[in-house]
Amino acid sequence: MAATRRLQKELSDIRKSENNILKNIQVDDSNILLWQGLLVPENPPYNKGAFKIQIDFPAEYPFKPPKITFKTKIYHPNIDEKGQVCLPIISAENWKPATKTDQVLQALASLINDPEPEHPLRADLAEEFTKDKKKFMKNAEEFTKKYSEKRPID
Amino acid sequence: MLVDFCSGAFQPHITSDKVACDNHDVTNLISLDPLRKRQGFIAEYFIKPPVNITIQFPCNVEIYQIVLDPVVGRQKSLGFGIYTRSKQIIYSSLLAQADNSNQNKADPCKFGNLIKQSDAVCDSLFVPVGRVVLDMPQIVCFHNVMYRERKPWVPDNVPASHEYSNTGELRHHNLQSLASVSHVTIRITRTSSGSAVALKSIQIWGQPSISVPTDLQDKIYSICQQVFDTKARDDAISPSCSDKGVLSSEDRTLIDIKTKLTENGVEIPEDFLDCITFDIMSMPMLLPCGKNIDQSTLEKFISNEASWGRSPSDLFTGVPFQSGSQAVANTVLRIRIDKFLMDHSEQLKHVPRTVGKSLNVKSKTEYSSNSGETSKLTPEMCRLQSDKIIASIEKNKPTAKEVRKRPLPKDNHNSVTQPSEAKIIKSEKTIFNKKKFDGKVSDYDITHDEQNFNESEVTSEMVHHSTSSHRDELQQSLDAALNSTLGRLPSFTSFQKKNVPTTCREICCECQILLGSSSVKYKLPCDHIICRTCLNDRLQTSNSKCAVCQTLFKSKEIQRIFN
Repeated sequence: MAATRRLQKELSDIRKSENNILKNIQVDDSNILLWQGLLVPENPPYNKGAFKIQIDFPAEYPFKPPKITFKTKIYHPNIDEKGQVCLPIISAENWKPATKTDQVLQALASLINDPEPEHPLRADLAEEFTKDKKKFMKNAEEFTKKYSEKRPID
Repeated sequence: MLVDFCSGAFQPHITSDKVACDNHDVTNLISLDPLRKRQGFIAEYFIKPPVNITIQFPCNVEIYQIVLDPVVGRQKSLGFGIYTRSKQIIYSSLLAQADNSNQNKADPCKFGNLIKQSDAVCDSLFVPVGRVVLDMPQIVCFHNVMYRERKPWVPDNVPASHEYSNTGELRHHNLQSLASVSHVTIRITRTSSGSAVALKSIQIWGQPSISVPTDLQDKIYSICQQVFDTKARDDAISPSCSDKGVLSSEDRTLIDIKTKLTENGVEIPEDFLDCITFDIMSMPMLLPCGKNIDQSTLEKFISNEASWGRSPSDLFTGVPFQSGSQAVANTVLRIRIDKFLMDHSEQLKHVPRTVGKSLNVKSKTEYSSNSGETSKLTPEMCRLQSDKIIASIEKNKPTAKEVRKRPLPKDNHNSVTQPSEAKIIKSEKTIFNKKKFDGKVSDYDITHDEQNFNESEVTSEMVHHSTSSHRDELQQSLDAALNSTLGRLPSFTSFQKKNVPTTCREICCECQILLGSSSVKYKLPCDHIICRTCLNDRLQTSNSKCAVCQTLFKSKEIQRIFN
């Protein structure tokens, strides 16, 4: 399988690198195509919790983009209730085989830290984000407190 | 002790009138950072000589010698001119400042400040004091012939000018031009062909000129001593330091090696890996961006791009391929990869490759069983096959005998000596001649049977040599396959050649006259040769029988033979 060698390399690179965006990366030995990890955003209102995400790599990787889904509920205009993320870098159309998972995770982290209400998946949250930011922050913080995972201790 | 006034410790001011290329700025020449100092000065590639590099000293200087290293990497300068300017620097402000500022008596920063202040007073001009044009780009030393040494400024820490292979002289009719120098301009007037203007290092050794106040001279001396001491200390420490550095870099490479991709204990060089899939490449393609990817990867990417209606482009930069910039086969790398795979064929069995015969080839032929039984190669296979062939030969034995009965050239020959059998053979021969096409087929059968025998021999041999190297096995199997393929083609030439002994060709069977190439010869259906006169006689007397074997022939069965 073409994807295996590349994913092994990327996984070891990510685990080696110092500024980990994704913590506690868990990969099943039998299936390297499925990664799970904890995303720890830096900006409020999400900086109080950790969010479990799952990365599905297709067998054709790196010729097809991976899929990212949130396993933890998150109050975010760009992430829908099912946990789907709209990330241009991993859309089928924009995908480049040279893009590394590390870069994808960086793009994801910046999207979480700075929501883009211009391209929302949840229009109601985007509206709240633009019109009443205070309320959005309050809601998001409560939501994070209620649903998010505990942050791993470094 | 002399002072190198180009050392960064004295904060000279250095400028160049032309642009330097990145990382090779003219300030490298006076930098205290050894890494930067090593980079030297290289002007931008489009700059043509002359290039002026001007150094401004913190105090007036009497120059002892100037040492220039003109080689930076592959860039070499050849011609130099030295110009000096003797501007009287006013020291009163400096001294006052130096006294007022602080206790740090050897603060070199002060000189830098001083330069700016003293810049105001300026009237004298640059004068040429020396020049040299080199044949070989080597270190060149300009020596001041009019140098007068004063204590404590004795040239004990500087190699004498005659130790350099290239020397030049510094002289000027005005003594001040070398004894009280405020600025030195080094003009690079010539470079070696195709080279950019470059200068690795400048050393300007000398003493403060006599006009410099004594307290400033003391200050310079103390700085100089400091520099010398630290340098000595550095020299003393540096061996161990460099050792440490080497060690640490070695450690680093070791770590790198450890994290490198290994396969069955074989470490694969990073160059051999596809930048996208990290698989070992079988057909590397060099992209315009300089990275190598496998052809299969590129093809897959191009087809993916085509599905989005985009033209083929560089995977990494996204720049579309054009006639001038596109992916090309990196044959050099491929050769290296092939060599590597050959060398490690035992450990890297499963890796596809384009050359070499070994286990890989074997497994491939095993898979392609439909391509011909003879190409099966394992000893067991050979044994099985030879058994099968032997069985088939056994089964075909009667037919083989039948085939033998057919008119073979040997029989013809025999018939000459054994006329008793002639009749039977004759009858058979007529049948054979009537059915020429059948004859062809029978010929084919014969060769095929012979082939079978050959094959059985080959295969049995293979069984015997089953322990021998794979190369031999492969060779044998190829031979066998070739034989079986070519053997199926009917060969008429060999049949005819065997049929007619050369001696019979030349002699008429009736009159026993030797027939030359010019005489007209005929061949009877029994393959005996007859001359025109004898044949005419026979046909006229209607005695249409061969004189040797008494075979009846018809006029239409006679063939003319041309040599």
